[in-house]
Amino acid sequence: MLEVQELTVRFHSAETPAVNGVSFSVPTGGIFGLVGESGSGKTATALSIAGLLDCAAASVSGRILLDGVDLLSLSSKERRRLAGKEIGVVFQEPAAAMDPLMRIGRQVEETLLLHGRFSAAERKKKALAALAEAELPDPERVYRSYPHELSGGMLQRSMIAAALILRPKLLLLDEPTTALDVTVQAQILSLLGRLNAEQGVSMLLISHDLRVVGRLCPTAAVMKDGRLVETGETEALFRAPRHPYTKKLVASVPGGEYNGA
Amino acid sequence: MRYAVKRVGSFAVTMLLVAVLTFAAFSVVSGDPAQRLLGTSATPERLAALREELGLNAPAPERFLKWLGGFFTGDLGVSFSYKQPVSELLGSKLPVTLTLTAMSFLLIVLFSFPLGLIPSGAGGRFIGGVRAAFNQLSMAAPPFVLGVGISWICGVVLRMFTPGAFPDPGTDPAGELRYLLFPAVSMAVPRVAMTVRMLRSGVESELHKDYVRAAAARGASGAFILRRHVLRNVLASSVTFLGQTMAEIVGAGVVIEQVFAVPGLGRLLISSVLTRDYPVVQAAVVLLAFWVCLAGAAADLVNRLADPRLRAEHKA
Ligand SMILES: Nc1ncnc2c1ncn2[C@@H]1O[C@H](COP(=O)(O)OP(=O)(O)OP(=O)(O)O)[C@@H](O)[C@H]1O
Ligand SMILES: [Mg+2]
Repeated sequence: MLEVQELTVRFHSAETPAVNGVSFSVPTGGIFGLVGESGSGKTATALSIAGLLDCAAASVSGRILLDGVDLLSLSSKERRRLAGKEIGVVFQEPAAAMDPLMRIGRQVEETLLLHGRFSAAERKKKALAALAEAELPDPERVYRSYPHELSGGMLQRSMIAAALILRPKLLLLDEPTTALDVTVQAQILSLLGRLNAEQGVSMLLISHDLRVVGRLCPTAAVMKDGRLVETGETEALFRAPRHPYTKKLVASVPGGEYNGA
Repeated sequence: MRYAVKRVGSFAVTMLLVAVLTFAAFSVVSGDPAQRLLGTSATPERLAALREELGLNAPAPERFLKWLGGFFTGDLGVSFSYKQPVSELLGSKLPVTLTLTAMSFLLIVLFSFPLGLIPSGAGGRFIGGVRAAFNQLSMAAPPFVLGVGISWICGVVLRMFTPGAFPDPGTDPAGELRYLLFPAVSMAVPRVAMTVRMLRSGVESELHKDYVRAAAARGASGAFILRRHVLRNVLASSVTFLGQTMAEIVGAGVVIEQVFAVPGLGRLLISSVLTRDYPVVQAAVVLLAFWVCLAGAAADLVNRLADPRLRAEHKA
């Protein structure tokens, strides 16, 4: 469903491209993992798929096909029509990704305000349903809360609810659990697994942590300095890493063993 | 509620401190008012009688308490040079200064908000030009020079008003407003430039935050994000700055009233310092300080209304 071909992202302020000829595909209804250390270009990849890179700061080339349509050939207006409706995004820092002065509910239902006509009552109903779907206890309370009143885990669940409220085809997850502590990480990952299975939303899961990718993604790619060094079944990456960088990543996982999906 | 108590408490402490310092500076240190009133040729008997009458024989703490009480009862003594109750004197000057300050503040808000918050692209070259003009004006001249310049150009050259001919209080409200416009503009111009810069850097830093990106990921346009998210955040973060601006205007007003011969509190303060009319000076200083503190308290209040994080912080 999502096919990225020879994606290259060049920040005008940088000498070398942040993303350099990257190709991979996310199967319909599947979860694809993207692993790599800090600065390897993971976020740049996600932002170019989401259409969130500022043209003034970076140039993007290659092809990004969503169900056969090249997103890079669309106008910015056409891309906005897809954003939130066909593609949802969840960011790394849930606390920063929320407007601190606005109640959670209004932010979760913002996508409804932007796409299609929903009455205020409909918006609220859908937002509460989305919050419940993200396994938030007491959605009414969350709906009324300000971001600073919720824990990181609850905020990230709210972000997931916001991203999925219009049932997009594709969910981009840029290090969705990195800012959370370990037990909450595990809960969020199992929530994502459940939503993938039940709603059939395809996901691109980005992480610097091989274990996170190992838990959810049947297939994954390893990224280093803007290039993919290895792509394949996650299990194979763990068991028999071919590239020296993948070997290093696998060796750095405590326990060193593949214990995922 | 507990926050309100705390805030009022700190307000009261600040004002008390100001009052103590003012009283100490002018009442204790400044010598004998009776001597000043009667001159050097006065007989010792008359001096003693006047001291008794003015209550100067009481110990300083007692005099302080009596004076402090005067702010509540309205009995702040009698002006040496005007032979008029201080409270009456201040009361007659206060409206002019209040109006001047309010006008200047309003001008600042009226000009700097559109200039600072409308994105460079939208208003095009015109807004950019106005912004540059304010910057040039304020950088080219310190405020009082600007005041003198405006007074000269608008008053003497263009004859838009007659410097020094402030209408008699109460006779011509429209004329008063017209006259005050010029000093108000002189105070506002440099602060418009500063406020615009503050707002623009506020917008700039908000635009780089993750929540802007998150809204864009939902399909929001730049204008939508600005309207719905960024402006509120910038305004909330600029309230403190505006409170300080208000306080600065009160201070700048003292000088500008002098430049434009506005018969307000500031001018009274300066002339009273020159004639060593201490009852007036003391009370005027405390009144101006009260005002500055009030601006700070108002800013805090608005801040709390605008930002739920602050409300939570103080509840704890
Ligand atoms: N706005 C920008 N301007 C210039 N260079 C940038 C910008 N954003 C990112 N870069 C550079 O692009 C490269 C890739 O950054 P990116 O954020 O995609 O990495 P990442 O893999 O997501 O890392 P992290 O784990 O830290 O999130 C880095 O070298 C970074 O310095
Ligand atoms: Mg990143």
